[in-house]
Order: sequence, then structure tokens, then C-alpha cells
Amino acid sequence: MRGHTSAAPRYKVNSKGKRMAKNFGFHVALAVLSLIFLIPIFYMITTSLMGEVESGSGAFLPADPQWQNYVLAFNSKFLNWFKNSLIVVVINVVAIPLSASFTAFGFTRCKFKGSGVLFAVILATMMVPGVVTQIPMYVIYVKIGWLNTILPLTIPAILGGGAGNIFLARQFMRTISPTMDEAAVIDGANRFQVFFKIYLPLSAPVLIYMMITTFTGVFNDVVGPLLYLRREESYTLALGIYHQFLGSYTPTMYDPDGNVTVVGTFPNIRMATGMYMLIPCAIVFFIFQKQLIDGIQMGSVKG
Amino acid sequence: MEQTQLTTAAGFSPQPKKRGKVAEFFKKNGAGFIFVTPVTLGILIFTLYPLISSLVFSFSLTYDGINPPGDFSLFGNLERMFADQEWLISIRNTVIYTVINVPLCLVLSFALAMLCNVKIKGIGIYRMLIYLPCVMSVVVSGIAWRAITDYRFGWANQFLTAIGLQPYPFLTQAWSSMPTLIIVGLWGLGGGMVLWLSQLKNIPAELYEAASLDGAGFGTRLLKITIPMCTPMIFYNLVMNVIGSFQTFANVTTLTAGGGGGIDNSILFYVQKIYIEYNTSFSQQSMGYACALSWVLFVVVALLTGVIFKSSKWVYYGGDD
Repeated sequence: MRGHTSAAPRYKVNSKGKRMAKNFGFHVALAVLSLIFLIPIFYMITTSLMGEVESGSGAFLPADPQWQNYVLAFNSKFLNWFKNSLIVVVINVVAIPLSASFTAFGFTRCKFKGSGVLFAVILATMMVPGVVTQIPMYVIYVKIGWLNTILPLTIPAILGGGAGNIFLARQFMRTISPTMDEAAVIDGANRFQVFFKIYLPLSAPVLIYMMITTFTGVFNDVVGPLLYLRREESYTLALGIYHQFLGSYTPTMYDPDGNVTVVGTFPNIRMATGMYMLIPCAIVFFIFQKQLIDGIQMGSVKG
Repeated sequence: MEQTQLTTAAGFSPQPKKRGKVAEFFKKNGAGFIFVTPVTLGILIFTLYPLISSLVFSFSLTYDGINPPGDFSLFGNLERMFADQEWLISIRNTVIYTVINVPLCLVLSFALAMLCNVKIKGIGIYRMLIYLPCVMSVVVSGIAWRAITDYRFGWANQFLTAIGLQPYPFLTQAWSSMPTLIIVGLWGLGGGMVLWLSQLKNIPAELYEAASLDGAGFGTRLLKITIPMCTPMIFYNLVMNVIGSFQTFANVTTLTAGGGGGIDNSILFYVQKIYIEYNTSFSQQSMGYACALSWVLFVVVALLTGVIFKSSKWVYYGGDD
């Protein structure tokens, strides 16, 4: 177990064979671990390609891959939910990083009375369990007609962008040298121009990080939609899957001509739909994994 | 801009002096105020207001969410809680889960990070694969795990019988449900691992060099360097995981297929209990009770966080700051 950190020095010069054997050991251990971690995803992939009865039987691999499951899952209901999800996700992915960095700029580069107290209050809101505010908000949303709309899922996030994101953006902006905005101010720029022209572009790494986490968080979120979306046509994809697929299995129905009339909910269709949920997040993760790790590191460097 | 000019003229008469002060105040603070206006509004409307109205509702015994709250009582809902068997069970389960799950995940994700911190070819791919389950929607992973842990047809029991063990009643018995939930939760270790990895990167290499010159082995370096240098992350993880663990909801709900607390309420969690009351609030007039339950949760979480912060002398933040 030597060399357990990237920072580990080469204090002992092992023979080449010895090191190779050790590396081989690591590869085996990591490969086995990776396979174990992939079990749920592997289950999704194989089950999504099985027939109805087969998919509930605990088979390991599909006898005859049923690619049409993916076509069946891609029905009009699904498309509507997907569209709803997309709208909510896009609004949040754009607004949250913008709002959080806007707020963070106020805390890093503007001096104002009460900033310390306000920042402490913002951080303290992280401690408030969501459920405490959700119930009274539900009552309000009913009254003002926000139920079954995307407003409860977007407006609160737009105002401020969330305590964690504000904190992260502030951490990042602190590292930007203030000499630059002093120069800009001498050139006649006001605070807003400094923010939009200098700080926002320079904050790109942390903005990307926020976009990724917002994307996966909002796209996968089920609790918020579960509370505020009560009509089937307003469901997001996650909520639609939740409602449609947590019940008992129903078979796919066909009319006499062999056309699908009702899409069933056997595990094969459930998992094909699930794959549609997983794939966008997986793609985003694979493309941006470096930014993701860097972003986490930004947040972890000394509170 | 007019106000700024007033300030310069302020010295001459006492009247504009006052206005000048106000102008001065806004000139100094105005930009900052504008930048924090959205977040202030957000906190006032979407946190503070509901927080306070929830507190008010929590003293009402008859609030149903639609008609105005009535029948206020200081201890009525508290009395109801302690007579509510389901509530007591939900507390027991939440505490048991937190006490086991938080330390377990801390230690295992740390071990995982240590393993994934070796410098070998393709380590990035391993890290990615281990993290991948974390991007799965809780709904989808819940459905998948429910199928995998199915007593008769699930892969898990097929595997157990294949290696000569008895099938395990993952979610079909009261005693086995909690372990199942905890084990399934381990597939989310990648999230913690990534946090640890970022902290491990921050440890200066010189420390290890100096230690190895002194002949320190793996164990010594782990105990004397790695772990002490990681205390900020241990602290952060501890706080966030305890807060998160007390709010366990979505993963249980999907794993039990929306069936609430599982067999005999063996995995009924505190937040689920709140939602049960909330969902029946109209017929049972239990909205006030649900609010009282959520406020108790808030107070407990705040107290716990406070205790962890108070005891944080062991956290090492480095010499310079």
C-alpha cells in the first residue's frame, strides 16, 4: 500500500518487477470494485433489453435483445414529461450559477453594512430541513395558483441560487486579484460592469461546476415535483417514472392489428425509461468529470 | 448622482447634512445591497416566512391546510407525538440508521479514496466507474435495487444461493430491511470518495517525504499525517451527513415502492412520517401536527450541528489562513 497518495514520494526504489506486481494487484482490486459498483447499471442495461416475462424472472442476460423496448418507452407521455423536465432543468442550469455568482460578488467585492450577518444567515439556511419550509410553501402555492406549474421548482432557486453555491462562488472569487477591478474602476466601469465583464467570465470553472451539479440535481429530483406537481401532464420525468413505475406490473396491450395501445410497466420498460434518465446525466458526468472534481476541490479548500 | 453632489455640499447647513449622511450610506453600501437583494428576498420569502408560519401552524391542533388554523395549544401537538407509536418508531429508525450509516460511509469512502489515490494507469476510469451510481436518479436506482433484492427472482439471492448461502429476505422481513437499506446505500460511496480525493490532493508532499526519511511506515503516515490533515473534510462530512441522514426520504420511499415504512414500519423514517401526516392533513386535520413534527426535526438538527461545531477542536485548518 505504498504510494497511497498522489503526493507520495519515491522514497524507496523498488525493483521494476516488484512495482509491476503491486500495480497489477491494484488493478485487480479496482477492477473488481468497479464491477461491483456497476451492478445496478448493468442490471438496468440488460433488463431493458429483455422481454416482459423474462425481465421479471431474474435472468442475467437477455436471450434475444428487444431493442423495441426503447421505442416503446419513448412514447407521448414520456416525451411530455421529458419536455417538462427539460424546461425546469434549463431554467435552473442558467439561473442558479448566475444568481449565485451575482450574490457572491456582493459579498466578495462590495463592502456593505451587515454583510457578515447576512452571510451567516445564508449559511444557516443550509441547516433548515427542506420539509420544514415545504409544507407552508405548499399552502401558499395552492393559494396563489402555483401548484402544477414549474414556478415552485424554479423561482426559489433563481433568487440567490442556494447557499452552497453562493459559498462556493465566494470562495472562488476571493482568489481573483482585486487589482484588475481597480483598474476597471479607474477606466470608469461600475460594479455591475466589473461583475459581468470581469468576474463572471473569470468564474467559468466554478460556474461549470454549478451547472453540472444543478443539472443532475434538478433532473433527478423527485421530492420537489412530488409535492408541487399533482397533475399527470405537469409531471417531470423523474416524477412520472416514480408514479408510473412504483406500482405493480402491467403488460403492454396491443390492438388487433398488433399496434401498441398501452405501454406496459414490466421491468424491461421501466429500465428502458430509466436508461433515458441515466444517459443524459452519465454523458454530462463523463464530459465534465474533471471540472466536477476541481469544483469539489474549490469548495473543500479551507472553510 | 444628485445625492452624491448633495454630500459634497453637506457641510454648509444642518438640513442637508442628514440627507447627506443617508446618501453617503447608500453610496458606500448601495452596490453591495443591490447584489444581495435577490438572495435576501429569496430567504425572506422562501425560508424565513415559511419557517415562521410553520411554527405558528405547529401549535394548531385542527389545521387542515385550507381552513384557517384554530384550536391553538402550547403542548397539544407535543403530547400527541409522545402518544404516537409511529412517530416513536420513526425516531428509532432514523437514529439507528444515522448512528450506523454515517460512520460506516465516512470510513468506507475514505478507504475507497485511499485506494483510488494510487498513481497507476487508468485510475481515472476506475474513479469514474465507482462514482457513476451517484448520477443515477434515486427513482431509477430505487426501482433497480428493488428488483435486484427481490426475494425470489432478484440477482442478489441468486448469487447467494449460487455460492451456497441461504437466500436473504432483503425487504420482506422487518429485521432485515434496515441492513438492506444501509447496504444498498453503499453504492453511493463514490460521492464521499470524490470529496476525500480532493482533500488528499491538498496534503503537501513534503510531509510524506519528511516522514519517510524518518522511516515512518504506511500506518504511521496514515495516523500522523493523512488523517490529521483530513480533519476539515471529516468535520464537513460529519456535519453534512448527519443533517442529510436525518432527512432520509427519497431513497427509502423508492426502495419500498412508495409503501411507506416497509414491513412493520421497520424502515419508516422521520421525514416519511411527516409526509404521511401531511398527505392526510385534510381528512385528519393534521397539518399543524405535521408542522410540529418538522419543527422538532429542525431543532434536533440544529442542536446536533451545534454540538458537532462545539466539539470541533480536533479540526486542523493549517497554519496559514
